[in-house]
Amino acid sequence: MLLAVVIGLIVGVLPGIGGAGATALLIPVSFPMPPDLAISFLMGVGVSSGIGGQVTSILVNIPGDPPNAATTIDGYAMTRKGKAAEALGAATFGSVFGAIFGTLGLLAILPFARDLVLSFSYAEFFMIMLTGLVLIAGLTRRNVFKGLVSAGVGLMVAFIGLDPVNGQPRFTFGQLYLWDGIDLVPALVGLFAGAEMLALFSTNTSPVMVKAVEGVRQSRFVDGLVSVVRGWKVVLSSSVVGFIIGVIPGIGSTVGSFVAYGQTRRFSRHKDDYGSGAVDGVIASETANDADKGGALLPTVVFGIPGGTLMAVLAAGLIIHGVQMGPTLFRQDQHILYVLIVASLLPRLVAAGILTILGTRVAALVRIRGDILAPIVIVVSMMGVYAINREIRDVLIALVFSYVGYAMERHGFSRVALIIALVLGANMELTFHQTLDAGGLQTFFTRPIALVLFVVAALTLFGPLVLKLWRQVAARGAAAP
Amino acid sequence: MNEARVKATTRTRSVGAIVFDLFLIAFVLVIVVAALDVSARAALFPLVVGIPTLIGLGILLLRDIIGKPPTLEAEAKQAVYDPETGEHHLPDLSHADLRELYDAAQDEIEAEEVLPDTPEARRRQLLLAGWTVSIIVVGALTSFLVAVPLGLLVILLLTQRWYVALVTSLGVTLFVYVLFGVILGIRF
Repeated sequence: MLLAVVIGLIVGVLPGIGGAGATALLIPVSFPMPPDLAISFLMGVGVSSGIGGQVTSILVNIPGDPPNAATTIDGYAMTRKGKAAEALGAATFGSVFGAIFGTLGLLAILPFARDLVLSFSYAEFFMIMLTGLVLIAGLTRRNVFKGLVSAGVGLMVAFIGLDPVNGQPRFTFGQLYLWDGIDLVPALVGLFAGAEMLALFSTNTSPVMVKAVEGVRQSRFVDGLVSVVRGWKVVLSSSVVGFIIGVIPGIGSTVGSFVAYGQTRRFSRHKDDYGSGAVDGVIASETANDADKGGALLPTVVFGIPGGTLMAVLAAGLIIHGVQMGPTLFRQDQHILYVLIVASLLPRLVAAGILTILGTRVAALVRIRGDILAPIVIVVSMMGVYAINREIRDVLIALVFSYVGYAMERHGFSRVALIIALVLGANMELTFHQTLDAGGLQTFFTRPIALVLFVVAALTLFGPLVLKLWRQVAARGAAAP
Repeated sequence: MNEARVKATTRTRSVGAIVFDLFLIAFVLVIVVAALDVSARAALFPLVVGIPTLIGLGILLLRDIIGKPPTLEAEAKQAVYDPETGEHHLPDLSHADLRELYDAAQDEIEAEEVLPDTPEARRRQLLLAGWTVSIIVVGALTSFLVAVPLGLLVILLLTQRWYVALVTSLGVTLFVYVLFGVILGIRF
């Protein structure tokens, strides 16, 4: 776990890679590990990176990951005032409390969710996956249409291989290699590595760390802890916001951290301080960012619907280790569930401890140039992909997906929707046919939970459009003489 | 000149977007056509998904061919994060409502994904893309234990001082060998 935390912190500090990307790249390395250890390792990397991302947000005004962006608003302003250590301390301890809240929230809801999900039948399983996919396609990017198309393409890729119903090869075009379908790991590695490494390699400078204004008393890391304790209301409210947003698949921790920041400012008595170094702004965004991860685990482990990109990558990693998220986890691998929960909390506490000791010195990593890092990451990820099956075609698949990922980013498609469709595709088809066999098409609409989920999916798809038309009609009506 | 013609000439089209749409259409079409050759049961779900996806891609292709007018929105998005300098310019959120906060978060996510577009950046991107292909080719023809140090040395010599390139390529090769060859037992 310590290794995972160190890697996660480094990845978080280095701009350009991100927690989800690093986790994807490390899946092949986790192969020889037993499932429990692999889960802890992958989860540890993913969740620790968020804490590492605070460092660059605060010290260099570059978020390590988009969820750290709201932290730059006041965090960087505090750095310019000579309060970098306090900002970092506030962010770190805010993250710790957010992580604890998120975990407690998850543990509190889990027994109820468990009873619910164990009552699910095939129709509910299919509908929850469909609704999750629609939510993710609709909420992760502004262009809902492209999100849905991305999900559709992801499902088409998932259909390649053995038909899950009959076990016959399908869409393999005579290639034995494709009988097992497109392997998740090369696709994941390619989708994440491609665009990120191209961006990283594109610039030949490293970020410049700002010097604090001279003559200002430098703050201490522990001042951040004092701020967090004093701002307990901010911690609590931001944790709630982050957790709730994390529970809904597709919204993401970036929105959570921005909303928490905005709401904290709205109810603050010192509104004018925000934007020029309000420590509560830093606490709000990072607390929400970490509480979000506890919330995102809920749909992932209970329903098998990844709550976001990191969860999608973790779900893929677990599938590769023979562990299926969702109801199967409750029925057969319940100990894995608790390993997941502990692995989502403990690494963040350890990461916070390391940051407390190292403080702003961690920021030295930011000086590593992207044009050195990018080729190294590409080489290591290629080796990792090759290591799965000793198959050069896996490396070629990763290469193809890296170009596809690059093009998707460039032209506004959703990589997350594609990945989640890839993860869910086989199960969706299986439960679709199982429902048809069990009771026919009407089963999707006669079972209450399935119907509710269908309505949620329909509202997600058509609700914004209907609302927009309604507002236009209302505006025309108001404008008419 | 009439208004429609003025609007048509000021619209922007992206050749890359059109090519990518065509690529996706080709992929989905191949699967949909292949589905017609398998049993009805095996073809059902792929067709249920594939046909609407194909229609959706067709609509996107038409929209990309027609093009779109440049918008202030696009400019505002670019202003959030400058990928060339790494500077972050978040809007003033001190008076933002929930919708504006959501939009700011989406702007941040989308701006983060913008690739630098200067001639130098494009040259570097092409270099990296070509280098990646060549590493795979050399690795397939010889061994990755040959391709990795050679490939790293070549690309780092193009962008770094010779001693940085040498030390880095040797160090990474050693790391890869120890991690994959010794610890994981992979033979290259």
